Amino acid sequence: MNDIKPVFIWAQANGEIKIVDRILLKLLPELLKYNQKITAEMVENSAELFVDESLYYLVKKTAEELVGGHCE
Amino acid sequence: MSNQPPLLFDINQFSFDVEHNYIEVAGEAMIFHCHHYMNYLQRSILDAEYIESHLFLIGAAADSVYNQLATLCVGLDIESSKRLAEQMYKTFGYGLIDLSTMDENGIELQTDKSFFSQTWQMKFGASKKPVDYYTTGYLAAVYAVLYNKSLKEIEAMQVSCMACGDQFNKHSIRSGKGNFSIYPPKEKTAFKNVPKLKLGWEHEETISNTFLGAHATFIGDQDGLIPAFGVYLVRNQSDYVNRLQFEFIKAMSEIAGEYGEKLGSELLLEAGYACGFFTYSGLMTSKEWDGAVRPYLKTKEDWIRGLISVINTMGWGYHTIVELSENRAVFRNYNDFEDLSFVRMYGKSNYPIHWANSGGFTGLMQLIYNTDLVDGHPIESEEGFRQMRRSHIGYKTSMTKGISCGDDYLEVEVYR
Repeated sequence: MNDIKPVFIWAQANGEIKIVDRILLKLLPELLKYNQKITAEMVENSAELFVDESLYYLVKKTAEELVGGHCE
Repeated sequence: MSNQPPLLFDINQFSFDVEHNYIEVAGEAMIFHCHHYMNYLQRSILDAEYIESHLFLIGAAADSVYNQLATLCVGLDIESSKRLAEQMYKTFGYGLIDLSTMDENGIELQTDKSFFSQTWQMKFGASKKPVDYYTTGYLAAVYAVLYNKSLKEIEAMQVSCMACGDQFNKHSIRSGKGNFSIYPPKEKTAFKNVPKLKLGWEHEETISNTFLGAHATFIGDQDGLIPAFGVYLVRNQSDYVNRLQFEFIKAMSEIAGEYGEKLGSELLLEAGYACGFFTYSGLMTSKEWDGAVRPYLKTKEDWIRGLISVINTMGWGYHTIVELSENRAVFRNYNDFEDLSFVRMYGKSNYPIHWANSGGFTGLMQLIYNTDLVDGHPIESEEGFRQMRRSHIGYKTSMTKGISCGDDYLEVEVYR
């Protein structure tokens, strides 16, 4: 399991204002497959957000594609 | 296009309904949106790649345009009908189309003037896929009306797009297996005729009367575009653009229930927010505003009242204020375009569906209280918009009432 919150924080700092919603929208079928219903409020209000490693890399890849950069 | 064709479509032939703050062209309610809104909306829909959105992106346009042209072309021969359809398209600000080669077999149309393709590039840069679904639907409707075809037997697609780097947009329309959604007949517009809470501002009538009729000056230029207030406007069939929202949320709901609705709704609100922010900012820094509105403004709240006095002449319904302060506002809209549209096409809703209106109100609050606009320093760039949003506590939006939910009006609370 990996903490996905830093990826969202990076995306918010570098992308459009609703980037978290856009990432989640793009990955909706995958999120459902992993039984995840993450929202922007959850990202904002939780200290950490652990998800399956393969979902983590999917979110990271999507965030990087949408924002146009590399998330360390 | 023919040289100096007679004017067969003139927006001035269609009167503005002052009682309901509404305008209709051949049975279709008409509303303006800006390129920020239209592209953000369409991008949000297209980003949900698991939805077969081309079905409604083309189908919604074809349905509304078909309804209009089936009325407007009565008594006209084919050539005159083509000219009318070209002129209506240009007047509304979608670009330019030349229908002279359309015949019984359809048309392979090429153009380098397209609202959707050109403004997508301005906002987002290059697209991987064609984006001018509206024009594909428009052409399908023209073909159906002029050659007495059923929409469900038309194959319509965009085969090249300037937003993808192509030199031209190309659309292919022909008889075949239908490839977009067909919708049932809809009800006529049913207004909610209830007593209105007026804006209650002494200058409202003066300002509204000054701008009444101004909507008719927003028509496509030599490129078929409507540059105004720092944005590109387009006059949409209200049912076309609202159906995109409704079908999108319906599809999201089918996939993931309330969770899907929530994800989609957030992006629809943001589309309205961007529209309100950029368009209202442009309007409130225009020379028309300086001449006709600015002299009446003493406080930041007056700026909001002034803006509402202007936009009530644009056909979006009657906007008014229930409460207004920097930290909290409650706005209403009597006969708002989204609810009228939803009721006409779908009937009742279980939840408020006026994302564009509500996002617009939120963008307006942000503009007045979180920027230096009233001091003459507007934010005009996308990056400036992002930075401002990050550096201020944003307003939240709560859609509390809607005509489609059985209420008498739209109501939204904007707060922080």
